Amino acid sequence: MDRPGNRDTNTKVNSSARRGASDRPNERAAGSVDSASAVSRRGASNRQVAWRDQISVYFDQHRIVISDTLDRLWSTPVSTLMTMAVVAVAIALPSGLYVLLANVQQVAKSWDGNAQVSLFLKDSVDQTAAQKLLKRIALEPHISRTEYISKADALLEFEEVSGYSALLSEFEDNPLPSVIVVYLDSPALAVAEQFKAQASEWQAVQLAQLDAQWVRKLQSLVSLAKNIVAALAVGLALAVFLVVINTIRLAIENKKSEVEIYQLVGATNGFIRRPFLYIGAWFGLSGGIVAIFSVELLLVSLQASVTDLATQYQSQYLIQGMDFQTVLFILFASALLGLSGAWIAVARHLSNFEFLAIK
Amino acid sequence: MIQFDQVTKKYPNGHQALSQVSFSIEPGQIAFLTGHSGAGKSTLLKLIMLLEKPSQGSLLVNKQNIAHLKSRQVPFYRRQIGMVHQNHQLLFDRSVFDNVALPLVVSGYQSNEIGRRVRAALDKVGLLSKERLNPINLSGGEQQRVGIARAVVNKPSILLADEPTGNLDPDLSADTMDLFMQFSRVGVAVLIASHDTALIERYKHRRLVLDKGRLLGEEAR
Ligand SMILES: Nc1ncnc2c1ncn2[C@@H]1O[C@H](COP(=O)(O)OP(=O)(O)O)[C@@H](O)[C@H]1O
Ligand SMILES: [Mg+2]
Repeated sequence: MDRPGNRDTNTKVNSSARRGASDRPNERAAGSVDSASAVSRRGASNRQVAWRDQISVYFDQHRIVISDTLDRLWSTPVSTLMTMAVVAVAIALPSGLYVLLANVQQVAKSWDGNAQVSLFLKDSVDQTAAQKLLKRIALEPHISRTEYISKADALLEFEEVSGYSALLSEFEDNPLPSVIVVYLDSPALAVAEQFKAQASEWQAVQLAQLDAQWVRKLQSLVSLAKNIVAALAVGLALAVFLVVINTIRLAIENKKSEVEIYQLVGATNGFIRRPFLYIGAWFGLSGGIVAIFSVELLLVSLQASVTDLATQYQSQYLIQGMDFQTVLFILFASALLGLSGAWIAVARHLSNFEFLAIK
Repeated sequence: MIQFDQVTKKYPNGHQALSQVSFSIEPGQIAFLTGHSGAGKSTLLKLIMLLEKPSQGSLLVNKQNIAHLKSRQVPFYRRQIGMVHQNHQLLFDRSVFDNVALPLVVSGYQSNEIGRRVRAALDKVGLLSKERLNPINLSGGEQQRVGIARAVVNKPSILLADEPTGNLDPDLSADTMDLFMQFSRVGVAVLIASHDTALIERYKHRRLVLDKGRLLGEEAR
């Protein structure tokens, strides 16, 4: 060869090639200068690696992509946080509502499931007449038990509950009526309605009132609300989806030249897709985590006022947070949402690329 | 190894960049692809790399018509070709080391193997001391050599170079040519697109001369 100049490089090349050849006899030598079999082994580089190494390479590649994508998100904190916040809100809203509704449902359930009818008696009805009435009620069908609250008892109870004893002492007479509470043995509204209709006809009864009605209404409202929340959740999931798709689309646009270079050096579509899929999953997962914390925070802050309220009813209520399964479900679902959004973005936008378009 | 048979390339805008080009290159052969600017040199290399597809004619690489490759086979096909790009195609948000490592990373090499090979390749182009730098801080010639290191790091069986000495001074050009010749000696087919007549004159390699997309015949010395 008739080239002029610098012998140094030449020596360097040969020595590095020999170094490569000596410690890896099974591989083509680095630089392949000393290896005559470079051509025959071409393209087989993957097969030269033992399967165990392949598995460790696979995990290595994922580990690298994980830290790379996290670094990438970390390097643009504002846009990362913004996307994360949108995802978090969209997940927190239905999750929070759902948990609140579950609590309301719990409270509603803790009321007696069976209906009860309160009969407010006329002032003219005295104790003996009331006792007579009680006996008569006992003969009716579907009666579980009855309870008589005399005017005096009613006054005591009122004072105890409200603490306003002074208020009623303003009255000359006790203004409260005596009441018979009738506990029915059936939760069926029809039974209670029928009894109520019948009791209103009675001479002694001023007013018959179906007490369980509002509980029942509440219960059906709650289950209606639950359905609405489910629909809301679907809508917001769609929103998360679109946000992630758009974010990933932008990420792909930003990485266009990088993607092209990867394609030039023989990266498979799977390899190119991978970081974008991880980014989508990170958005979903981090949004889910933030959402769970927000909901828990909300519940903790609500607990104080609920405790206050419950004390007024001589009761106590501990708000039920999300159980472990729910938390897992939310995390899994949000990660899956992010991942599938990214998948769609990648499928739609990566195939537009110059080099992929050519077979 | 590379066999062009009546290959014509017409770009979508109607421009015919190559017209019925036929030639072949054997393993271990080294050839210059020359011709005026716009003659179709880059286009020809892009066809081999499957960055463009021929409009007519067939292009066989290792006796396989590459037009018939399925899209999922294309990456694996590209891995056996090292290409030095005219505009370097480097990533400016990574170190020199990471740029050169790219072909190995996408092929799933283990990290210790990657380190060994990348350093060997950088050593060959004289940039071992700059592995930690970002390519943006390198001169045009150094960037070009990073691209050369990346093209050879995977030990390809075909080496394509598009104006590989464009930014290099005569000494470095000679070193680069030396490197290519070492590869050809172990059976790698090397095709160098260049209009650097001074460089081409210095070596007695085969020459394919393109003129307005037509192969003018060969001058072998
Ligand atoms: N993507 C393209 N679309 C249309 N015309 C192109 C494209 N790429 C190259 N050309 C044209 O094809 C001709 C050959 O280009 P090229 O192969 O780059 O030449 P060279 O590398 O020999 O300078 C030129 O006239 C160029 O303008
Ligand atoms: Mg060109």
